[in-house]
Amino acid sequence: MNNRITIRVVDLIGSPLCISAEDGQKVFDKVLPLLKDGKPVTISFDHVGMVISLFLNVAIGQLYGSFSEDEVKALVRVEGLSGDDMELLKRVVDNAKKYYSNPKGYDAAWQEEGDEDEQ
Amino acid sequence: MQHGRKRGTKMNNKAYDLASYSFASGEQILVDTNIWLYLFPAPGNPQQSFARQYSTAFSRLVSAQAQPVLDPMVLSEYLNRYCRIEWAANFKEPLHESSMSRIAGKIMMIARSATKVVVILRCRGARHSERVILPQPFGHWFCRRTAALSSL
Repeated sequence: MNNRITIRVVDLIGSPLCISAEDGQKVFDKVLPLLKDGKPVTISFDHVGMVISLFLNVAIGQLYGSFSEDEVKALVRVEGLSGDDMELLKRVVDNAKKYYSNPKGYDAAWQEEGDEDEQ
Repeated sequence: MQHGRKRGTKMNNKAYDLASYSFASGEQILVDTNIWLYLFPAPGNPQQSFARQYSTAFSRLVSAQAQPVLDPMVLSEYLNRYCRIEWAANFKEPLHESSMSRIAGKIMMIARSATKVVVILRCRGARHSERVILPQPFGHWFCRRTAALSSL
């Protein structure tokens, strides 16, 4: 029987600020092996004070590079986000699905932007 | 990022290392376009090194209760670059002025996606040549959607 595992983001990253990619990676690294084992996971954002797109992209959007949309939907539950932050998450998920459906195209586009910065 | 002590004061030109800079409470920091682009990215690889550096610095900025500042020009450039990434990734056609009328519909679709992220700042009172000091919690400014958003 699969028991749902709850990951409290505040406890995991030691801060109410969900901003840095490094902290987002900690969440991803915790969730990934659980999903590989087929275990359902709840990611709890209770007591989080601030969330930005990048954090969500690294923590959750990145899962779409390893699992199908159906698998993520079936195994991952997110709770504790405000309505606004849930909208942000939805946009991040949409962007993740777009990226993983066309990674070469987006990588090349970002590369062009990076090259322009260096000129 | 650029810094200044108070609104309207001269900024000095000294360069600081972002990785070691100590942000101060109340200090106003003008955040440039490339940083916003990585903090609120268009679809892209989550493992970008710039994103890691910028977000770590931004996290320190917020923790120190410094004030991120957004210039309307920066906002405009952010939108432009977000659209260019979407365009370059999805359409082979070069984005030239001459082809704009034919591709206006596609551009609108991309711009609508990008403005979900940024336009709220204008709705909250940014006027031309004014800089906007983003309050805490900063994130809500970027993710809240209003009726004005859908009218664009």
